[in-house]
Amino acid sequence: MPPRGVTIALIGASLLAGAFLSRTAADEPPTSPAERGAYIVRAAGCIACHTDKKGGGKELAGGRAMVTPYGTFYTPNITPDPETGIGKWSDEDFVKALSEGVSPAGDHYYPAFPYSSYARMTRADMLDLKAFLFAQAPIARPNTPHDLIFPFSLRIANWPWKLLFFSNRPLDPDPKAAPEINRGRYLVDALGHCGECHTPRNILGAVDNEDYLSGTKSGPEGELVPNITPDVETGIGNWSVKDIVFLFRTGFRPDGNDLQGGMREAIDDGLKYLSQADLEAIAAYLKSIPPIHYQVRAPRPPKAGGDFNFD
Amino acid sequence: MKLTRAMAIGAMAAVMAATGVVSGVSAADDPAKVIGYRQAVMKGLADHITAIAMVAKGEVSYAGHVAGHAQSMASLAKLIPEIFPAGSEAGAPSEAKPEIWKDWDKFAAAAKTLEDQSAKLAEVAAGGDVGAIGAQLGEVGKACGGCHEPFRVKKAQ
Repeated sequence: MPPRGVTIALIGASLLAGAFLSRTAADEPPTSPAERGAYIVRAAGCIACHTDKKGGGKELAGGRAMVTPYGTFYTPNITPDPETGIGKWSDEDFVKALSEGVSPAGDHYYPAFPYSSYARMTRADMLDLKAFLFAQAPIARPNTPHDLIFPFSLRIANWPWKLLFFSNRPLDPDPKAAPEINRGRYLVDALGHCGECHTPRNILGAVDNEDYLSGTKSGPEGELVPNITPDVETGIGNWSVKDIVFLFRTGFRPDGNDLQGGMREAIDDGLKYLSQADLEAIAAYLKSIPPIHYQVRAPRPPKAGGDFNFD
Repeated sequence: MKLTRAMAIGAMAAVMAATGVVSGVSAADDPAKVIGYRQAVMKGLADHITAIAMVAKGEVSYAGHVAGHAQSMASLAKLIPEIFPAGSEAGAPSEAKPEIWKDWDKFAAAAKTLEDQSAKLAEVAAGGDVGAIGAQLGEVGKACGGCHEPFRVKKAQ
């Protein structure tokens, strides 16, 4: 057995720099559509919403309750079960659902399903995703109807909403930006749908891109969602790319505080599996967007005595 | 590496608990002070994570310290049930929810999970497999959530 000092030195050498953060990612290039789709399902964060973890539901079989100001949505079954899932969907059905927010039966989806973001995915990524979903075990679980307040309970109301707020133009790469920034933007806007939580919504529930990624006090499930623009005081302007990637891998901020809630799920079911290059691209893109000064903060608990203020 | 006050307090507390100097919370302690104390312990946990993160990001080359930080975290986690005594719900600003004392067994079990996961991080760190360390850090973060999700007032992260 080597002396202790040598062992520590060896560990030190192996822990150096980026190696620590990159080893958990699958860096082997995938070959089949389903394998590529296995990566898309992580990058697009499908599992967290389409799985009823609290109720012990099977992965991707839906049924998770999503409490919003408009009522409670129950996510649908997206396993390939032909009766209760999406097993009968054609490629065109699947592409239409993601790019237009329309079901095979012609119903307009609620924007709780982030098709506004997914519409910007490439068709190739959509079809790889479908190949992955169809390679999973079919689970028979009938969809739970949404429980929404009037007038949102009227699905027809989704149609004028779309006219007002939805555009399915693709996400064209910015020719002036570096490839890494364009890749990061695609991961953030099309796949990761970060803005669905991190950008505030207007009174009709549409994301308001004037305040792109600057956080909101009324996020999903009543959570406070932080400002992730590079504003130094209220956003992540002081974070390095490494800080951001470390958070995606472990769920810890640079100050050692742990993330919980929706972002913990986004990490555990998705982000932590992405490649080092992709996580760095997301971080580089976030650092490149316009900083917005906006402080998202919960009202402090009433002071019972003393002025000790722990944050 | 900066040794913060909170880390020093946390380390001292861990030593005192291990040597039996601290054997429970005195009912005479001022609840405001108990709250301040436990926030120092929590800050100690966060500071150890920050230190590990700095190594992980390659900002400092103290890779041999990771296991020690993780052991310290396990020691601090062991203190958690003691530093939330009944009667310390109020007295100073605190993010601790009253549910802690209504669902004590769940709270104590979640604290034990953090202790166990931190101890496992120490083992994994000693083994030197960098991928495994990153994955185990994720498990530690999840263990934090075992208490923070149900028992802490939500805040912007």
